[in-house]
Amino acid sequence: MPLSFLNPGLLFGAAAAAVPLLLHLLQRRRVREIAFSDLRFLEEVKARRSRALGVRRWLLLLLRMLAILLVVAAAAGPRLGGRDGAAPAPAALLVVLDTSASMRTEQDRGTRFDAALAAAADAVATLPAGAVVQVVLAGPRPRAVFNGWTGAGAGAAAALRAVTPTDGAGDAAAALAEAAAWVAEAPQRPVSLLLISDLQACAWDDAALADAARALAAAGGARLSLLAVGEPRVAGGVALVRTPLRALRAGEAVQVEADVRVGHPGQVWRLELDGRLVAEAASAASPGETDRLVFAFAAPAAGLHRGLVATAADRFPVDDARPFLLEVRDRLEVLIVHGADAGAAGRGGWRYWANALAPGGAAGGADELHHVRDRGVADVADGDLAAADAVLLVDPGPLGRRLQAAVVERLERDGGVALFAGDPADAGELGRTLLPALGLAAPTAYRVHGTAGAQRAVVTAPQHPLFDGLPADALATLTRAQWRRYHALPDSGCEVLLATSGGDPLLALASRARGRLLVAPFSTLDDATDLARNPMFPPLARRLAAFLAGGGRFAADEAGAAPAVALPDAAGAGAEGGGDALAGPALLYRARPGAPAEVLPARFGWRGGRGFVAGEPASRQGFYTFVAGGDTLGEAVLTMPAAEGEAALLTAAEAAARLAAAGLPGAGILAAAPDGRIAAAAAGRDLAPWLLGLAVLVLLAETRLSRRAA
Amino acid sequence: MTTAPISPAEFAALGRLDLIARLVVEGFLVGLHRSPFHGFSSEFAEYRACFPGEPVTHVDWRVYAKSDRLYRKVFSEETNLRATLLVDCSASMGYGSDPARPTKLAYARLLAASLARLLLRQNDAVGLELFDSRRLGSVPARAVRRQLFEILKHLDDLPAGRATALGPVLHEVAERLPRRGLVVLISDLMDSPAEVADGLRHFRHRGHEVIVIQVLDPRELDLDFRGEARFRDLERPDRTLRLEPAHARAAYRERFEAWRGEVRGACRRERIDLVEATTDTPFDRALLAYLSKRRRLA
Repeated sequence: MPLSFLNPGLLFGAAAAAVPLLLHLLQRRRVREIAFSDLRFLEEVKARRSRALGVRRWLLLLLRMLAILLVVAAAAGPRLGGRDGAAPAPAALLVVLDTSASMRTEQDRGTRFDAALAAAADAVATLPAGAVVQVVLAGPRPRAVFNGWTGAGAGAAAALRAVTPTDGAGDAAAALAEAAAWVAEAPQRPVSLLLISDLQACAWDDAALADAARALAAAGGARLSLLAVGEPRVAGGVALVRTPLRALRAGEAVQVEADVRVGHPGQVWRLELDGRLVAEAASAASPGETDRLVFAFAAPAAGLHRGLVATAADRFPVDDARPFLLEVRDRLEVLIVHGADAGAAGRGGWRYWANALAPGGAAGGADELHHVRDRGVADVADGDLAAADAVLLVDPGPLGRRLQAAVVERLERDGGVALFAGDPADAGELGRTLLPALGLAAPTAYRVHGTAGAQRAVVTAPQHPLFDGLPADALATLTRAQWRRYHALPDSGCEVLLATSGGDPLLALASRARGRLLVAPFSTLDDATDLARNPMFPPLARRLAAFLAGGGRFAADEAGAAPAVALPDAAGAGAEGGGDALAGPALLYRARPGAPAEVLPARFGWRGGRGFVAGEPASRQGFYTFVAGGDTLGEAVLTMPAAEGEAALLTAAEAAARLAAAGLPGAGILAAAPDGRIAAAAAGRDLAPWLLGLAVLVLLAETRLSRRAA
Repeated sequence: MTTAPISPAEFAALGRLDLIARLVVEGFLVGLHRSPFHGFSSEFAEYRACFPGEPVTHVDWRVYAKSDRLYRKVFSEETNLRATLLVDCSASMGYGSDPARPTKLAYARLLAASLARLLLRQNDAVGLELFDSRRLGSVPARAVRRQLFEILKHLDDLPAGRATALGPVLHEVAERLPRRGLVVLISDLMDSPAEVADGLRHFRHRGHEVIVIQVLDPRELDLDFRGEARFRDLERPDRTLRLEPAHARAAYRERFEAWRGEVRGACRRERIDLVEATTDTPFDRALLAYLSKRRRLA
């Protein structure tokens, strides 16, 4: 079995073995002189022991030199059974190539991906005849480059060179799981698995790695090697952009927050809307730190606007501009679902909400922001919920299975629902049906207070969009409202926005995916609360509707996901259908403005009575526009995962340790080397751990021998 | 309250040999108050008033009965002992491992001066022989007051030593001593034990009582050196030995102890008192050995 070294240059370090010899000689030269009374006894002793001492001394010297030589040899990457051997090696090479966004970081010689690609292409091109190769791209969605295991050669190397990195996240475990599937199908063995990556820490999930390790073992196993191509770099960028969570009107004050990573002192970020500079902000934080910047401006005209928080490009350009979408509404569609008006006590409070939102009447005036429709529980039609921007369930009573399913679906998609349920007769029904379906606990008691014991409200989350920006006297006015009857809600992990002075929640927010559910366990009739008579009731109702209607619909997805938008209600209101039943060849989406024209297929379908379009998973961040018949149906945005901008990289040794802990021990650590040494090395057995172990044994023997000599 | 005896190093720091000898002897005798050594003279010299705290052993009770006063008898002794101090001045005696301690020769010099003073105080005749591989100088034994100054003068002018050859020089000295007496040999005995024993036997053969005070340096006993070193022989400067003391320590101690055992055996066979001292041993031990021997002779 031939022996080869990955980094033969390091073998020059063997010269360090001369250090003990030099020290020994220097020590001989520098020995001190001691005058002694009589040497006769020392001479006798030395004559007796001189031979044994001399042999032991040279043995110690040899052991020390041997330990240094072993460590140097281990550092040089020794491989047994490498490319120069008589046996062809390797029989099958599976390259896992990291294509996450962080691989686009520029280093001293091109980007990390350039280095990784060169190493992978080199490994593939120099495989011996008869060997087969497969390459798995470890991006947000791992995929193989070739349709199957293919013969190594120039063709495979050329195909590999066409690969480009994505803007998405890396996932080492997913990539190894995909690799395991290919290992299982390998036509010949042994299989060498070469992982080339910058080893960004965020891509390594230990629990998922353990699953991948099991899959790899089940597939027959592979000889795993790591090639790290990343050098730590501090680069500035935008990690996250937060748009207001409420629906916006033209001209109102808007604050957009951005979490940024500072690359250099005084770095400036700018906010653009539709290509126009709107605001700028600078950070006083130190390089490498994160900072939160606030861009304040007036909301533009109604419509959907493309936004960008950007800074000057640096070594990692992907996160230097982060896109977002900002929607400004000219009207909000509010649907109030209520119980029967006549008969039962406590019904009819919904009118307070309708009047507060649209004083001009249910149809609303021409300049009214809110268009309110009311429906009895039994009269809600399919599509009513989908067409509404905000849904208020006011003393609805039993919802019925169909309506309840529509509410749950709305919440799971991106919609907002407020539930006002204070009728004691309804509590049991809601506790058995709607609230459990939403993961909430049923009311535990019904609290009734006399006039003297009426509870006042306490604003527990003044920074929430419902109350944010309200002056102190406005909040004080709101807290003067009194509650005499309400349900006691147990703690279900909701965020309590408003509570009684006794601590019972009056307004609790339960987030579900992108949907938001506001639960108010009281009726708005006079016998329960005088909230409707409070001067802050109309503004609160409008803020509540804006909060339910805003935010989630245009939240950014991460690169690697499939962009999708829900169509405006006018496009498909009242239509029936579900799933992907309808698909039109004329439906296309054009990805990323500014990039070369790229037209891709998209799917059109119905979900919950509302039309939606969705594209194929896209690996680059940017705006994605859906076009059909020449009309723009909607726009989506994909962004780079925030963690991809972090500078934290694992070392190859750390990654090997994580793999070992997950069940993949013995991963070899390679170093970038030219002329095809990587493929050979990946095939050979890594001798470094053995040599290091041997060095430890030699040092132990040296210690023992020197102690005995003493 | 007790105080620690003054160490040889502290005495050596005083410099003046006569002062040192006096301090050593006076301090030693004060420490003997409770010991069995009270003096060896038998001839009455005078009466002296007895003061509180003095021993009542020599109180003359008859005088007390007549005069109701306490007097004690003071004796003077006729000189009947000739003591000769043999001081080894060879190069090996110049060894001292620690600058804070006296060399073996310095220790021997202080000890010889102290013994001389003590002997003269007992009205014994005392003489001095200095030697290395040959005799270097001598002071014939006398009991006169000036004798101390003669001895101190010779000890002050100690010549530079050479190699040790104890056997021949002991024979030579033994032949020269005219009368039987006490011989005190102060040396490191760095010679063949057989040669040393042969020389000492010569003294015994001529009827001398012999006390051997073997002076060694503590480092000679334990070879407590750190790190590899080149050792140079003081008696033969051209001879050096490169050694790691830690490696040789155990064997050296074993060999050195064997040699000392041979010396002890030789002394025991010749009924010679051997006092083993190191340069940090208080002088009292050697002086006690002399007093003990003197008492037996008396």
